[in-house]
Amino acid sequence: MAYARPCGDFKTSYAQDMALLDIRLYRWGFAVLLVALALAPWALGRWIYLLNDIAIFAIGATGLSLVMGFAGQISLGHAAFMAVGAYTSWFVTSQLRLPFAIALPLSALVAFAVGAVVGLPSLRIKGLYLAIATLAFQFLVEYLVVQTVSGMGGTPVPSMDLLGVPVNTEVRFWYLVATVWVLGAVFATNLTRTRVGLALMAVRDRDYAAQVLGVNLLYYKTLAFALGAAYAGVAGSLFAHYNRVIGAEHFSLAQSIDFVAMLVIGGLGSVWGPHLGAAFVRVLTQLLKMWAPALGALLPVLGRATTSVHDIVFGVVLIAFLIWEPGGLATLLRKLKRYVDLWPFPH
Amino acid sequence: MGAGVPLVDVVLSVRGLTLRFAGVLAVWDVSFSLHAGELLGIIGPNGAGKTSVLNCINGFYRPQAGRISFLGRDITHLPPHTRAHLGISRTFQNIALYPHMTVLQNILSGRLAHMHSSLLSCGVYWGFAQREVLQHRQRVEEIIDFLEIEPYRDQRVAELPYGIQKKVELGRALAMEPRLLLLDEPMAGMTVDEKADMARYILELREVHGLPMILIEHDMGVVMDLCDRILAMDYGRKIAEGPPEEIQNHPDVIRAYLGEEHGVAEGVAGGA
Repeated sequence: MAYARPCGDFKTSYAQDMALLDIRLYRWGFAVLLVALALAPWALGRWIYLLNDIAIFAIGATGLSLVMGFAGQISLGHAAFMAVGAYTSWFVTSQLRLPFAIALPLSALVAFAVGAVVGLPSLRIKGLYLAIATLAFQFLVEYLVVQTVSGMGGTPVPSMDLLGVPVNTEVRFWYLVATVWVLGAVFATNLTRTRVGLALMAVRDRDYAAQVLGVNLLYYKTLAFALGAAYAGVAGSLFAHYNRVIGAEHFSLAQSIDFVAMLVIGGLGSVWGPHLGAAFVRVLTQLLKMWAPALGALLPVLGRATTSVHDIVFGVVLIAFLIWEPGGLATLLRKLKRYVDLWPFPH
Repeated sequence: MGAGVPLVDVVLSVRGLTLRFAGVLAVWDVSFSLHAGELLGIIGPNGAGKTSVLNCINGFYRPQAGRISFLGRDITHLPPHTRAHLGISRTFQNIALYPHMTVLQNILSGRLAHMHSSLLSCGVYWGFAQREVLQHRQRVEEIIDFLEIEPYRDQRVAELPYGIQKKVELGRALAMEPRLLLLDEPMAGMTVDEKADMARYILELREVHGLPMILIEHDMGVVMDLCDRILAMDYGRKIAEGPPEEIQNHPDVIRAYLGEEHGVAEGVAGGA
């Protein structure tokens, strides 16, 4: 897609051409974004919990974006990887009594290893069949959680402590999760423009050609799953200590499907996609939760249908995106930027 | 190209290659060698087994019998990506580019076999991974110059016209710095001008870089003009092998293309 470059902003080296923020406007924009994130608690007040919630799920969605958006492998078990991270973190902090600073990376590592194993079948099975294989993993984890640790209820998770500072308020948690979020997002974005990302995209676009050009399919497909699971593991660990209680309901199939919805709505194969998608999905979820009782009171005809208003709205939104903007919010934004760049001319 | 590699005259040697799909005999007892700097053409009617031979050489298909050795090493049982690392590259009959990636990314991905940055340094980017990507970018730009596709650099491949896509695919195969290049109908469906361009690139690769190549092509004029030696196939068998002039007048080749009929003694030579 051709785009208009601003005047007087030149590239004179390949390094500049391959930079992520390749024009001055983007560099300023990103700096403003970082400042905005740092100042968010003042602007949002008690609503900061919404950002905390978005951040946790955006980290998870970034992982799924590597698996589905970049490597092109479908996964319906992403919430299960989140559970792996959450319960690893719970075990390390409450059973082994180790600090959170150790539990967080350990959750990522354990989820990474589990992801690599779950990713193994992707070498032989594709598409719908792979979806079903990952679905089996989702159910297996849910079953294990219910049968072994949590039962039908929840498991309490100790509060966290980072280098002696208790992370016990929404604002403190925000600075922790925002740091992990930004670092994780930058890491994933860097992956997509180097060896790993090129290989994953090659596998996604045409696996047999990639193989002939020296890409080891087994290695990269399992790597994709392992990386995606590691991100989910980090999200799970953060969620566990944020929510202070974890149970099967938090990592259900519905949550896995919500992750897929975040990617489709945000934009598959885009680095901004998972973040935009997570924000959209989480905000909509919270709004629907708030409005559902009001809706029921306003239109008693709906009766018990208001309890499933979440599923109905999400179904409609997903279908709408698939029909009108399969590229998701990321493509929508790019089109908007192009329109603004070229205005008042249409092309 | 072969710096540091012992000088071997026979680049590729195929012996008794046999490939069966259930009841169909795709390739039957085919043997040939490819010498350093040589351009070998494979011709034959549709379904003769030409592409199957290429697929066996780069490891897509596992032949039931036969031996393939590359630069003196037996590669019969190696997986495709390992063969790529040894230096066998190819293009496909039906373009097999990465449609959602840009021209730049497509050609850069051809260099994956030469990239070694670790997972962590890829994610951190600054430092080793950046240096590596930039150094490969330099090589990719040389290939883009060579193929004269500079204007399309940042375009997605799926949006490009067919002839340009064919060039990009050649570029991706070259990016690997192959020691053997397999070209499966690089000129199929091209206009006369595009064919001339492609022929020029192939000749330059042979003359300037001494790159050994195997070329499958249906345009007899092109094959006869470019190739040093030609192998003709029909129904999975090798029916003739030799220099172009000899193949043109070979009775079995004429029979394979024109069928058995009295009075067609003088060849396909003329126009085809």
